Amino acid sequence: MNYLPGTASLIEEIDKKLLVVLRDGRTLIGYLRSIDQFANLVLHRTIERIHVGDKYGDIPRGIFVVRGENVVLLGEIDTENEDKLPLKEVPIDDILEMQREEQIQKQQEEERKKKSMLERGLQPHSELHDDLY
Amino acid sequence: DFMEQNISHIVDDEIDDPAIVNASRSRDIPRKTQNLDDIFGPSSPPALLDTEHLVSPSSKNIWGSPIKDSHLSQPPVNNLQTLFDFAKAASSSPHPQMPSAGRNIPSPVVKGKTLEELEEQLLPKQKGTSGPITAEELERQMRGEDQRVPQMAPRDPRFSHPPPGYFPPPGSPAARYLQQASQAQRVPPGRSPYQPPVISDGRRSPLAYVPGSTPPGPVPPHLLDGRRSPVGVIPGTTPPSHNRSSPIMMIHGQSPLAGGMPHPGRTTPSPPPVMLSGSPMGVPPARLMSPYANRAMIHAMGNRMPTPPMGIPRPMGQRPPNHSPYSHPPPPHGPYDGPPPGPHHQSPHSHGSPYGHHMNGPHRGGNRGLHHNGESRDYRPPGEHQHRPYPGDHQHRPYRRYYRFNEEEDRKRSIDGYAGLMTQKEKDWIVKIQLIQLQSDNPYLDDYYYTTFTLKKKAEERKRRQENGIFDEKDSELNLIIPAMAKLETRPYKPAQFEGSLGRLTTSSVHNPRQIIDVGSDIPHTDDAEPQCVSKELRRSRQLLMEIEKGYNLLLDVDDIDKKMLALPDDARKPLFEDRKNMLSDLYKYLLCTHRNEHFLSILSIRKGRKLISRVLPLLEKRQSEDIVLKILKNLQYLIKKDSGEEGLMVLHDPVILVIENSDLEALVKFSDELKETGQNQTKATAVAIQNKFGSSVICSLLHRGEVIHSQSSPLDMDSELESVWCQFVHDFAGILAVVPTESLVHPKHHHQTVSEHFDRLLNKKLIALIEDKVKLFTESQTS
Repeated sequence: MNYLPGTASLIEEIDKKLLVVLRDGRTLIGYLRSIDQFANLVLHRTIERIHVGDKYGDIPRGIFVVRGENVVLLGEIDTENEDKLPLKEVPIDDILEMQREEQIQKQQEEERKKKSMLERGLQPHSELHDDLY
Repeated sequence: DFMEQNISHIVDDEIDDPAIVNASRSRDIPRKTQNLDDIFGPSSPPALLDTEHLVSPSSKNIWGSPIKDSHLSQPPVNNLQTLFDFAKAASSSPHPQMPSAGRNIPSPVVKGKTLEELEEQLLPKQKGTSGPITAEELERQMRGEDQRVPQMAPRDPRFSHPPPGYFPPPGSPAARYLQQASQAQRVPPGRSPYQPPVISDGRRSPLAYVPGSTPPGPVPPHLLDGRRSPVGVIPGTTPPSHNRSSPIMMIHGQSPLAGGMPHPGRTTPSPPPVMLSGSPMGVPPARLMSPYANRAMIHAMGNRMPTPPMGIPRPMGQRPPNHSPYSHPPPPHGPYDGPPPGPHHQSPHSHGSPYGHHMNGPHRGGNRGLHHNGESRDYRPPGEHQHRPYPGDHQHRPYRRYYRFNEEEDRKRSIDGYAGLMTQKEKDWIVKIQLIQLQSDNPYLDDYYYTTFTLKKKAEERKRRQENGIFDEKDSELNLIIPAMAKLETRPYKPAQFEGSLGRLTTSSVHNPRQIIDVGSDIPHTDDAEPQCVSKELRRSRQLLMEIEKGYNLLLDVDDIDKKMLALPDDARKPLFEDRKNMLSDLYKYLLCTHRNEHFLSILSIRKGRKLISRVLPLLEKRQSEDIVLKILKNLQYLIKKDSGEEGLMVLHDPVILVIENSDLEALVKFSDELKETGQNQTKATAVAIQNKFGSSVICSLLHRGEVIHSQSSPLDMDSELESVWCQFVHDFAGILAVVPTESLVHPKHHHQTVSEHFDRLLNKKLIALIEDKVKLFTESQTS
């Protein structure tokens, strides 16, 4: 029973399998076991899923305690259709490799942009933030 | 022979001179040296503690209270001194007659050596025995030591406080373990890290826990979830404390944990890392954290580690039947039924039955944090594993009782195994916090959309109920729509006042802080410096705008009061607010009416001013509103002229019409009077009026009202004078209507059939026929 109509509460998400996106871009999937007033989360049987393109890889992590301010969003995972993803699972090492490559590409892209900005006399877009969001 | 005698005479031991005391002393040393040999020999007991424990023997126990420590510090120092002496003597040449020489040379070397051996010194020192020491011996030694340090023993929670049942029977290997452990702790002199005599309430209070007692309230879950967190939080974990635990751990490892353990069931030796990490957690945080947090810590630790360090009392160690964070006694057992017996084969499963439950429970609790791999292995539901028969142990009953309480959680658990970690109590706690956060003094300000949404919904519901014929008590109440507002009846806070005191209590708080600096009150008045080149017009218009703004502020205040009044059912409140409202309305009136006509006109010429008047009009009293309408009508011609094409006056339409429709004949006559032509004007006001939508609407409604009045009241009631005036007006109007070309006529907003009826009533047929077409304008809706 929701005591708070018109509001969002994590109480109802407890013991559900959730997908949580963090501010640094990580995606965690786990069972939400406990929360608190700051929306700190305790995730159980967590896996970190890395997506590159249409491939993904899972890293089992165990128990996560996430500080609430680092959560961008979370959503319930449809356990029935969980296995019907259009994405393809690959082994962890492969996906890490792909992630690295993607990262390198991004960096190169940023470098090019920065250079071209400087050539035109503009200030390059400063990447002050570690967070993705 | 003579020579011998002489020499012996000189070196005679029986020297009577009292000043020479040394000679006898020198004799003692050789005896003790032999003792040392025994001690340092191969048969000596092994070192129990590391060297670091003995770093600074004179350092006081930082965990202890000053009073208690003073007793501790003295004896150890003495011991050390004597030990030093022994050691130096021992390391010196076998001839102990030269202790002084020996003292000088090897002292640095000796120091290092003796430090290491100090414990062994202490242990058998008094007895002078050597070789393996039995438990009884140790115990007796402890007792002996206890006599020397009387405070230790009675305070020692392990010995005195736990229920007698916990104290192991002497002679059992557990006793030995206990002795060793306590000795190990005693040994670092001046340090009693684990037996805080009465250090802090935090430490003490868990001691007061008897198994079966429930701890207070829900422990903040996050404290317990982050079981490792206190370690990180408390910076006080120093290496010495770290090492302090190791001997105990080793003892744990060594001694088989027999059934007579004082700590029921929790003593399954877990891998050393657990212990080591656990102990610093246990010792310093208990000191530095609040009692409340400490209990939480104890819980956390208790659940995490099978054996918290010695000082943390054992009775706390067993998982108390508190429901809050560990509401899952059985489920975590399941997945770990396999693993624990494996790696911990030492664990006395033989004595398992009374303690196995406990053991496995916290065991898994501890392992859960560690064995992630294990988790992934075993997600199967625990199932039958949970129900081990523990017939004899009354402590298990609370667990089982609780387990039966939550049937729903059973179901969840059976699916998941870990579900229900968060108890209903905790969830309620969170919801309570969230609800508190939602409370506000000003819902319209804080969450306008939600407030209006709920208000609308309630209004709809009410209407529906009324339509359905359900008459509800609460429906007739417009109040309490905003339920939160009902509680705002606190009187203005008056802080306590004391008689005869020199001053008042401080009343500043977060919500009304004390003013430190007056910012913004000395704004330089640049208005004076402003050049006079600003035209008078501009200034006047600005002033006008400002006045209109002030008017709006008042309007908004009245609005707020209205809303508040609506929410508060309290009758006491209402008159108060009524007063305020009246005051505001008066302000309004004066703003709008007492000024000269020009002022009023200028307000009307500004769109916002018009809007203001239209919003104020319904709030005013009848008399006041009629005055305003009169004013409007008086200037109608002028306004319409200015308004040509824009229809800006329509904003005034609805309230004006409302006023007219509630007016009596007298007012009506007054209105109509205003519309009569004033001397110089050629054009009739009415003629102008009907060429404007607003004007024609006004006139239409006037006529409509006239008809209504006429039809409703009998001719006798009506004032004949007024009646005749009104009649005249209608006639005049009809005449104008006849003159004005049809094309320039504008439809009024609302059409009243009554207009033609009125004309029929009051006018002669000829006239009616003349204006028949045009009357249609008023009576029929726009077709084009």
